Amino acid sequence: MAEPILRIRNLHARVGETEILRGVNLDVYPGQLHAIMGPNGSGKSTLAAVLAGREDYEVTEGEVLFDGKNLLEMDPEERAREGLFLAFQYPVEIPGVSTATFLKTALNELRKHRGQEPLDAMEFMNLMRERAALVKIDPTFFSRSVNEGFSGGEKKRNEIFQLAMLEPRLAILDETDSGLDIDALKIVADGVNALRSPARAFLVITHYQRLLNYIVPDVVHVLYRGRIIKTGPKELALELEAKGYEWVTETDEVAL
Amino acid sequence: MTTPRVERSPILEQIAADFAQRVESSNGHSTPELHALRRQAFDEFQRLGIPTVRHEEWKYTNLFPLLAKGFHLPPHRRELPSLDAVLAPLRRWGRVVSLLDGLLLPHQDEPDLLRPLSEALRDQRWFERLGRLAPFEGNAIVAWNTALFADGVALRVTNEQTEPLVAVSVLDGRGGNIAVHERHLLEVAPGASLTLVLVQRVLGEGEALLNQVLEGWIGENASLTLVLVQDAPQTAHAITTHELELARSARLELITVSIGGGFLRNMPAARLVGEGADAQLYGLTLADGSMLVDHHTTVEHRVAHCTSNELYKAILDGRSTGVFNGKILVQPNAQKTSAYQANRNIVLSSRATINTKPQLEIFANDVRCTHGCTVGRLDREALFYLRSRGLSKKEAEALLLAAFAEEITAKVPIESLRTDLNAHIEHLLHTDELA
Ligand SMILES: Nc1ncnc2c1ncn2[C@@H]1O[C@H](COP(=O)(O)OP(=O)(O)OP(=O)(O)O)[C@@H](O)[C@H]1O
Ligand SMILES: [Mg+2]
Repeated sequence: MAEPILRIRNLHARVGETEILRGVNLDVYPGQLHAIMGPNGSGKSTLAAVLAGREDYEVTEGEVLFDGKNLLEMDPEERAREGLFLAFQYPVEIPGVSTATFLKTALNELRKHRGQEPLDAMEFMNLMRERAALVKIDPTFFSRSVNEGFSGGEKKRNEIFQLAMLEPRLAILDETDSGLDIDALKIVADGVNALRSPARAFLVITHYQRLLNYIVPDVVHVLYRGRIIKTGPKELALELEAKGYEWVTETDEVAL
Repeated sequence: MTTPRVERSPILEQIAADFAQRVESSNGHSTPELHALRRQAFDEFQRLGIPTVRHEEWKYTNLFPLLAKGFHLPPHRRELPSLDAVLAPLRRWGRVVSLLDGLLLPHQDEPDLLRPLSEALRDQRWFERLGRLAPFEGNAIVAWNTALFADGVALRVTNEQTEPLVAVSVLDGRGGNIAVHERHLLEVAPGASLTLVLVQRVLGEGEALLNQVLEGWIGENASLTLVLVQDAPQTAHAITTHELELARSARLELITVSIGGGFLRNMPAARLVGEGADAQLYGLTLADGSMLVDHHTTVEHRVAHCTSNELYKAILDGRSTGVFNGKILVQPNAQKTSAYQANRNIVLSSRATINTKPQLEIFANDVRCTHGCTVGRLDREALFYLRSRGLSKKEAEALLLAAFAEEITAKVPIESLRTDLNAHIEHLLHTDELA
C-alpha cells in the first residue's frame, strides 16, 4: 500500500488543564474517505482544529505526519500550502473582504508554493465560475464579503466551493452537513463526490448517517472522550444510527 | 474650560513677530476693517495663549513639542516654484485649484467659482461672514488664524457642480520650517451641490504647519461633500477648523482620511440650523511612527427633525497617538433629532495609544441618540480562517486591516481618489511598521 497522506500517532492535546484529545491514532491513505462520528464534546472539532493549526490547543504528546512531513511544527498557512484544507463547522464572516479577493490571494499563495505562476484575472474568473457551479453558488457571491450575511447553508456550500478552488490533498469537513436542508445536503454531497480522486483524501466529521448515504465512506471511526474507540466499514455508521453511541461506549468502558 | 493663561516663550515671541510681519506686509493691501479685526484677534490670542494639555480640549494633544520645532511665516516670494509634479496626480480627482503658502495661484482651472479671499473681503457681504461661524473669541487657534492668515479663497457655488473641485494647499518648506494660515469662506447656494477635496502638499525638506480655517454655509436643499485628504509625509502638520452650517434639508458628507502627516488635529463642526438637514461625518486614521491624529468633531442640532451620523475608525501602530472626541449637542428645540456616533479602533502596538471620548450634551427630550466605541485587536477567528487558506499572517492582517479601513474610503464619491487612497493604504499596511 502507498504511504498514508495523514498519519496520526498517539495524539494528545489540551486546552488549559483539560485534556481533550487523549491518544488519537489514525492513518488515512490517498483516495480514501474516512468518516469520524461521535457524541457532542468528544473532541472531533478539536482534532480538526489541531490538524489545521489552531493555536488555542497545546499538543502534549504524539505526532502527525502529513505526506511524511511533521505537520505539527508548521504554521497554519504552511499546512494549507502543503495541501491541508479544513471546512469549518462555523465559517467565519469577514466583512469588507470580498470572496473573490480572498480566494485569489489564497489560490495564488498556494500556486506560488507549488512553483506555479499566479492566475491572471480572466483565468481566475473562469475557474471561479466553473467551481462555483459545482456547488451551485451564484457568481453574485464573488463580490460579496466572505460569508457575511450568508445563510447557514450558503456558508457550508461556500466552504466546499473553496475546497474546489484550492484543490487540497487532504480535506477535513467538520459537520459540513449540519444545518443543511435535503436539497443543499445533496448539492454538497455531489460536490464532494465530484472532488474525490485517487490523489486526495477526505476526513468527514458528521453526526448523521444521512450524509454517508450520499458520500460513502471507506472507513468509519467513533471518537469518544478524545480517543478513537471503534473503527469499521461503512456499515458501522448504520449500526450507530440504529443503536446509538451507548452501544460502543459501553464496550469502551469495559476495555478501560 | 480651564482659565486661560499667558505663557512667555520663544514660541509666543515668534508669533508676535509674525504678527508684526503680517501687519506690515498687508499695509495698503487690505481694508481698515480687516486690520482692526486682525488686531482684535491677535489681542485675543495673546490673552488666551497657546492651549496646553491642561485645557480639557487639548488634554491628549500637546501642541508644544510641535511648535518647539520653530515655524516661521513664509518669506516674501520672488519666483514661483514649478508645481506641475505636485499637481499632475491630483488632476485625476477633479479640477484643481492651488494655493501656495496660502495664496491662491492664478491660472486656475475654475476662475468663476472662486477668487482670493482678500479680494472678496472688500465686498461687505463677504466680510460680514468672516468669523460668523468661526469666531475667534475664546478660540486660540481661530484667533491665531484670524490675526495671521495669508489669504485663502472665497468660493460660491450656485448650481450643481458635477466635477469635483480639488483645492491643494502647497506649503513651501524649501527654506526651513514654515507655518501657513489659510482662511476660506464657502457658500453652497440653495439647491446647489459641490464635492470639494482639500489636500496638503509640502515642498522641500522643511516641516510645514497648516492652520486652516474654513467657514461654510450649505443652503436649503444644497449638498456639500467635503473630503479632507491627509496623506502627506510626516513633515506635514495640520490644524484644521471646518465650521459648516446646514440650512433646511441641506446635506453634508464629510470624509476625513488621515493616513499621513506628523501632527494632525481636525476640528470639524456641523451645525444643523434648518429642519430636515442631514450630516454624515466619516473619518479614518492610519498612523504609525510618532504620528498624532486627533479628530475633534462637533455636531450641533439646533432645530427639530434633523439627522446626523458619525463613524470614525482608527488603526494605530508604532508609538502613534489617536484621539477621537465626538461632541453631540442637541439644543432644547431640537426634538425628533436622530444622532448616531461610532468610533472603532484597532491598536496594533503596545506603544500606540488611543483616547476616545463621546461627549453628549442633550437638552431636548424626544431624541434618538446612540454612540458606541470599541478598542480592540484584529479578530483572531478571522485571522485563523484566512491563514488556514494559505495566507501568511502578515497578509491576513493586511487584508483585514484594509477591509476595516475601506469602510471609510468607500464613502469617497470620486472613484480615482478612492482607488488612490486604497492603494496608499494597502502600501502602508504592507510596509514594515504597520501590521
Ligand atoms: N477552546 C476551548 N476552550 C475550552 N474548552 C474547549 C475548547 N475547545 C473545545 N473545548 C472542549 O473540548 C471538548 C471537545 O470539544 P469539541 O468541539 O472538539 O467537540 P465535538 O466533538 O466537535 O462536539 P460537537 O459534536 O458538539 O461539535 C468539549 O468539552 C469542549 O467544551
Ligand atoms: Mg464539533
